Amino acid sequence: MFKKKLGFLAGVMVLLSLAGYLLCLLVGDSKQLKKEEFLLVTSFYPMYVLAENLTDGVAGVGVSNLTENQTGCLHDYQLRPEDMLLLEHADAFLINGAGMELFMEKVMQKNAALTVVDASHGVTLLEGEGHHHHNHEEEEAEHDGHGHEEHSGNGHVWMDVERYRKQMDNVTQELIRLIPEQKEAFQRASAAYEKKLVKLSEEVALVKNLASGTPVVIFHEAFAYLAESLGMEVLMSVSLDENTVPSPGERAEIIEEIKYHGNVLILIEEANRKYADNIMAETDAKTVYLDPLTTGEENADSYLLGMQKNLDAIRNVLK
Amino acid sequence: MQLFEFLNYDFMKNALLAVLIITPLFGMLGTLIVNHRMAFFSDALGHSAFTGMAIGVLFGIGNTSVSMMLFAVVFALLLNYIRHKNIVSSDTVISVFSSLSVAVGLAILSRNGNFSKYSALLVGDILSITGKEIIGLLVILVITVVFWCVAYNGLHSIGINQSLAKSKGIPVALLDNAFVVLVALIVMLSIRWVGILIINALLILPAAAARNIASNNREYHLFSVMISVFSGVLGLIMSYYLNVAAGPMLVLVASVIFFITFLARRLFHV
Repeated sequence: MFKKKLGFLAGVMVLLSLAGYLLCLLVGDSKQLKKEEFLLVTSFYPMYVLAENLTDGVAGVGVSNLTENQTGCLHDYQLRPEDMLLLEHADAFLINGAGMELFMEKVMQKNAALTVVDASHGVTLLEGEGHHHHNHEEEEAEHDGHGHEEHSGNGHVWMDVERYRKQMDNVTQELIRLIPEQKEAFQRASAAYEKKLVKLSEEVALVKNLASGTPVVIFHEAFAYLAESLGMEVLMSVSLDENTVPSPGERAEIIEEIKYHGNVLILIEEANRKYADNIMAETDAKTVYLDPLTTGEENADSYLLGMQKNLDAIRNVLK
Repeated sequence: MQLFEFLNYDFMKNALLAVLIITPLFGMLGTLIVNHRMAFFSDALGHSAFTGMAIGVLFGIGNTSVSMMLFAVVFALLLNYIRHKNIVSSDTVISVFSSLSVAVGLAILSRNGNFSKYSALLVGDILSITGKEIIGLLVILVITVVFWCVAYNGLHSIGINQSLAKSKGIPVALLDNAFVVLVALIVMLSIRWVGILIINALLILPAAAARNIASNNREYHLFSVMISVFSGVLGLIMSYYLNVAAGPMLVLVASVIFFITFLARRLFHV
């Protein structure tokens, strides 16, 4: 009887393995990548768009985004086997830095050989929401000198065009250092993008004339940078991470703050509009739907377009 | 598609090693958990990880694994104490404690809207395990095997009939507490890799599947460990090719085996 059962179990296992194998054949895919001459992996969408622009027309450099373009902010991203693999193949890993890639710390330390390009190096940060303490063991074990002290800062640096330009400079210089033979091509690509960004800066200055001094309540840390670059006064910053909703006390506080100041703008993502509607019903605040630019299409101009759309939205409300 | 392509990568080798250590462990423990009707108990234990971590964060303990383990041990002993008090039905008591610990953990961790930074604990990530942590798991595997050799008979008789075990001079309370402490430690050590949502499934499913077709203790253990290891390895490999998270895939394989053995029960007239 025992042998019969053992045989049965073995049979089940063989069948399941076969079924699994077939499933993988049908649905799965092999992970061996085509070896580009130089593979630059980016951590998430804003960095991907930046890299696409800075490697435009540069031969022998491939850009691949680690997370899907639709992932958004990375706070709770889970790496899949596929992602780990991409990193193994990467020649350099471009991160936003400033604490946005906290989930990657461990992985980056494991692949000590991986060249990490920190776009936010030397960029001054706005103060972040709460102080979070994450993965302490690793932080203490391997303090490699950069980044950690900035973790309590607000990492959504790209939302300020000036800071974004600084990021662009950083990345360009690093890329030239890594691939010196392509120096001219990088400089050409960088200059072309810079030109477009200068134009965007001018737009920012125009909207700033209108928006300067406007009190705002922001519902995404990313908007703090945009508000700052427009000279707006941030009364409150409410964090709407995927897993939390504002507590009743917090909502009351927001409403009181808005009533006290009057003529307040609420900056919020369209997806979270229900929170703003809720507040608008009780106050005279106006709402602007903005895009933190963390997701989007595979389009090299998406940063420029998205930023322009944000500026237009603000202009329309203030007019 | 090359079949063994995944072994080219260190992170997959490490994950495979970790699976080969964790799954036999879970297969063994699961048999007793199922016998003692403690499935819900171990589930509550997993959920207490939140509170353990929250306490660690609150007191600024650098390594939250320590606070998680300490809290889990205390929590397990407390639950066990109440379970044997027979005041209210034990599943109600366990549920109350489970909910309470999740709520405390969520309340503390979600202060300042920071919860998303800890939500990795829900799903777990076996792919980021390092060599040092694998050695830690190996140590606990050895401890468990030794404990099994020494205490299994005693624990088994407790599972069958507590009064009878007591009358035979078996130190019931001591063994029972030692067992729940061991379960607590193992759950906390592996929860980062397996995840709160899945850990109990991995503890219960292989044993439950084995129980469907086993007719004695030897078979029960052997089948449970076999099914556990098999689900772990197949699940991990499939997750590699199918681009899904590893933990849920292991559970899916184990569930399929459970249903097959459930249907096959009649075949063996168990």
